[in-house]
Amino acid sequence: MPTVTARIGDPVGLHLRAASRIVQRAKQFDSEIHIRYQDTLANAKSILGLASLVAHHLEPVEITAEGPDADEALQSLVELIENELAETD
Amino acid sequence: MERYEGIGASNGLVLGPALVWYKPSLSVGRRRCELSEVKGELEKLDAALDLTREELKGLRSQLHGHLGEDHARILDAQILLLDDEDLLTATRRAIEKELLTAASAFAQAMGEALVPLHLSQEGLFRERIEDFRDVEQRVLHALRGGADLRPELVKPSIIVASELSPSDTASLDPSLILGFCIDEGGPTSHTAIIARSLGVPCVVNLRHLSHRVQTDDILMVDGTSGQVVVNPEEAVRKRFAQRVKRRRQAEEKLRSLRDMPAVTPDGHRVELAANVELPVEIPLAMRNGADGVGLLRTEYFYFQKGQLPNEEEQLAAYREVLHRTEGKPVIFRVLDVGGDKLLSAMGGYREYNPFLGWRGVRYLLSNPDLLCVQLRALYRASVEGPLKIMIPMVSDVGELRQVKEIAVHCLDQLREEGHPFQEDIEMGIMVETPSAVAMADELARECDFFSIGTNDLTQYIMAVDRTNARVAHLHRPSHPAVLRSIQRTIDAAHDAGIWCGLCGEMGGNPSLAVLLMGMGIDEISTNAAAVPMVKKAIRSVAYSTAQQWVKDTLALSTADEVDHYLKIRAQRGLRDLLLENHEGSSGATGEES
Repeated sequence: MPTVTARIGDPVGLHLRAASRIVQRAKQFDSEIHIRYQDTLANAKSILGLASLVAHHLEPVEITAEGPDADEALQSLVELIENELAETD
Repeated sequence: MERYEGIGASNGLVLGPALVWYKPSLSVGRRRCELSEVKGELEKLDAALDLTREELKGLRSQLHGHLGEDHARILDAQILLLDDEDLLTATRRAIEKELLTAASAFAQAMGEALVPLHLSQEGLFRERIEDFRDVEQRVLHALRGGADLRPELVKPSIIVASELSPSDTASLDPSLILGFCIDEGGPTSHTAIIARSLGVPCVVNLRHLSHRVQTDDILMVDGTSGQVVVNPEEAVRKRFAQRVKRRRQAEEKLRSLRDMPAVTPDGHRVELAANVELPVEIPLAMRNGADGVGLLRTEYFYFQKGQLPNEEEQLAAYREVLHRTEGKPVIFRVLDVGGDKLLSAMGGYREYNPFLGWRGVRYLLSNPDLLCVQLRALYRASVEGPLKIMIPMVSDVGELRQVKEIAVHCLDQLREEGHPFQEDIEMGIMVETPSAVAMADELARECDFFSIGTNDLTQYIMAVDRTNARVAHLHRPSHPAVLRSIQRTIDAAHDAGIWCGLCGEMGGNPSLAVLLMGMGIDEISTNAAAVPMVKKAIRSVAYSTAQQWVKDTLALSTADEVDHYLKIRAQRGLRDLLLENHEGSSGATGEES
């Protein structure tokens, strides 16, 4: 199962607006996607799940994807988490 | 008969029935349905989710229109919650397998889903729970058919509440409010300010009172001492009624000054205006003989409906204000919010130090479209009556220039579109930052008036957060550091040929008002209830005497020395005033909150 690590690019950390964008992005893929921060594992397509991850700026999260478009999903989410979130906020 | 002790936040005495105000917080127990009802419950759930989604999307598109995509995103988390796979799967499973009603199942699934968030140690992140709870309440309301469960205010009553939000207060008919008893909050809370403006007593920090009192219990409230008595005995009630009567007579005597100007015995005139937070306070200001509105806060128009008003809505609201002030001048302060305050209501953006953050003119300049809509509405309203425009939280001349550029652009647009407006509308600034005081001479050259915002100015000059109980006692506008800053600001204004006013609680204290008059202040704007007393004070002390007070106090070194000096002088010059208010110096004579 493909797994990558991304560091939170947003200076405020994984706040609710950022979490919303991750969910919206994850939902564009058919794969099952999970994000792990420390001991907590969350469904990337669930806002409640992501909201329970208290990840700060530059801390690593682990993303896993399983499904037909797993690689594209990972690539897109890493780009979002590391770069795009930092740019707009 | 039971006695409670709180903190007096707005003076006055009142005896009357309680109305216990509660937030319609719906909680549902575990209620089951029949197997045959499962399908119906699932459909009810979907319908409620759809309805709530529509509500939130409507709110989002309004935010998008006014503030742009970046801000509208703060509602996305709430909208996404309605489609949350984990949540909905758990809810549907609870309906189908446990035979719970849609409401019970949804509440149970929410409760379970929020457990990890509750376990989080960080306050900043835990606040997001409130955002999700808000959605939960919306869905539960939708499942109930959306009925409004707030109690109705139908007769004159004392409002008893745990805490009131600005929208709660706005929904109450002010003519029926006898007073407020609030479990939480301090003297500077929103409800306390409203109470002072309405001229009704308010006691805060009553802890659990709202749980101990029933609607229609008789309350005896002393807004000065902070005492509240529930269902008093006959004799106690009678004595209290006597006090209420005596006090009312004293107030009526003051009110007889209504149509007299605020002029000293030696002929020096000061404009005496009222601060207005809600349009409903305007009649009290007019009844109390204010010369106009020296500070009309426009935040109310923005938060009233939980969505941003467009230009036409604002225009109608501002026209209504000018209509109610009967041709007297009104100074509209453009939207003064912290970015955190505006946005945190819906989740997302928060600041560690909002008083030093993205607020006032800083916020407006990063949202020029928002400012533009408001300026256009104000200019268009200007044909209805005399208005002036005031910019909050200016700390740099460049900010003033940028606002003026935007204003010129708005006026050009209006001219092109053929909308009529008054030429030469005065534009002034709030002087409330130390940098504005330091640069007052430069600022005065580029605007039409100053209004010194003493609440914030004191906070910034003294470096004291007045909402922090441990240091709040250092927040004293009578401190020589504050007085010198005020004097310097007034002098800079006069040197540049513009007028200088003051809006802030300080102006409602009779002896400080006299001191300000001696400094040469042109206008004092304070809460409407304090206007008659300040007028009496100004009419009691000669300008030359007030100038001597200024000379003496500016030579003192501490706030204690200033207060002591003023106390001695006031005992001579303002004796009548103090006697009439011996029942407990009213909000205006007491310590500044």
